[in-house]
Amino acid sequence: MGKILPETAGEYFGLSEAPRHQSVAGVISRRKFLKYAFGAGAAGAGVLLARTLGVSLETVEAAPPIPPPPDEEIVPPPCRKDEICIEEPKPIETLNLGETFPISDKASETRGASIAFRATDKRAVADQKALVAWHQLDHIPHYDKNGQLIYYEGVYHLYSEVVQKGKEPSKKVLLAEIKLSEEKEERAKQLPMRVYVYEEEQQEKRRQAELNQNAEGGSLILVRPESGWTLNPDTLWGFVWAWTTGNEKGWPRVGGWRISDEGEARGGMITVEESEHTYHQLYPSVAKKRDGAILVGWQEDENTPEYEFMFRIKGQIFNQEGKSNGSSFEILRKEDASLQHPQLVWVEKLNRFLLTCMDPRWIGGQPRVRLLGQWLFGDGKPEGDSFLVSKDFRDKSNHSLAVNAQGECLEAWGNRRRSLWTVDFG
Amino acid sequence: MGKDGEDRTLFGPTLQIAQEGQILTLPKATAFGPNGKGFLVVADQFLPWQSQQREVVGVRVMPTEREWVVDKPFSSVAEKGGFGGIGSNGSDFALAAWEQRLEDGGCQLLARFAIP
Repeated sequence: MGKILPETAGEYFGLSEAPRHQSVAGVISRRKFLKYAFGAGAAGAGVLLARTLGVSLETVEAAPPIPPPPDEEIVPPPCRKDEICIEEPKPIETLNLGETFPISDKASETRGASIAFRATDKRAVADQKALVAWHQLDHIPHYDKNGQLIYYEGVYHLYSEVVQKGKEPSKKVLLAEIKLSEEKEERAKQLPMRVYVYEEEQQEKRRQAELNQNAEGGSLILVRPESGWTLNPDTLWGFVWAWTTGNEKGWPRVGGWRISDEGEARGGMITVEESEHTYHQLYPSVAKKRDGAILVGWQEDENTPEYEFMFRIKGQIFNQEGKSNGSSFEILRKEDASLQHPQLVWVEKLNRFLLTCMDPRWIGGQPRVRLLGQWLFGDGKPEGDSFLVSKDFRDKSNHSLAVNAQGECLEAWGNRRRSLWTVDFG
Repeated sequence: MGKDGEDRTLFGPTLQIAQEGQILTLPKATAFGPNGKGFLVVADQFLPWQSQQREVVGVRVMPTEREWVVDKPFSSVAEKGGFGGIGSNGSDFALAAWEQRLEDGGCQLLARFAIP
């Protein structure tokens, strides 16, 4: 019995955050688990406890069970009045996750991880290759001629990389680089030296200050890659938006690259169509048809007083060679709402695209959001009117849409207001 | 296809997969599982008791004869992680990636393959 407690405690502390991940089978506070672990551990049920903590079954099985002494009845310890006793939870079977491995180098921040598999390509399913696209903020040191560090320059890099199970990742491919504008850089140089000399504890503050500078000027920021395979085994798409302000050409634009099977970019950036009134193009989403054609959707407003920040959802079809089959077109617009964050999937059995997007409004002085859906024909044009996906206007965070091989769609979103996370499907 | 704004119940009932007190955002859903059934959903979780702290959580949603259920959670995806994404080959493999905060204040993109 002397070995049981340390082993039980070790399992517990080794996975001490596990209860917070049990979003399904019941979240039990660490305090309760701790009491339960030690109480039941003393009774010789250490293996069972490890399962209740959400340890993978594989890990649990590796720990040899310790049988109770013959003819000894296992009696749970009685509850004290000041303790909250819980019933023995059922064992939780958890998803088997492999070893963690790094994709990017160390950076100041890494965001927007977008992952695509070649789901419809049998060869791709067999080789289990995936594309990961992300952006990261790097700080490039600048030195004076005496080798003294003067300041760090913030540069955003957009990368893609092909990852394959059981093999070393391919070389990451730099798709885009976004530097702070020269004006910002000059401002940075003029700030006191101490701000820019690297000090570990100052790094985060400086980074935040730098971001704030950008936010104030509205001059730079983040990319959100969206990627998807085409049926052609040697091409794939990564879509990204990024921008700098200061001139008319600096407004955010949606664009993408053709990327080879080995992760190499083929040609330059391909952008979606814009008009003379195009202002912001944001949050692209991509979906591909079985024939390899790609529908790109995004939110866009116009540089006119009437439609500034009144976003509508636009789209454009490209073939798998990256050429557009036509002009961009309007998918969904509301005269009284600014539609945002489109998500697209291709539903093969219906021969339709499905679009969902956010419809934010101010209700009673509070920002509220509902989710709209829209079926689209194979050419991306809307079929009928939009419909409600979420049935109310509660405050919602980002959403995501997926389709599986059976043609079932799932929409997921976070509900901040009620601190709940809900999932719809159909 | 119905009038604008009409609830045509194309989507099933809302399935709550988090507990009270959890604040989960930025969900990412994807097809997953044997024969392409089911979905994997990962999300960022804000930890309100730890300022600016995030982690990545996830579950699998699968159909039964009568209803959809959340049948499996991830044992663990990432502590001090955020901005996670996930993709699947629609058959038997998924890859999750997320930003991981490092001890020295930097960040790195980490990933794991998930197997049903």
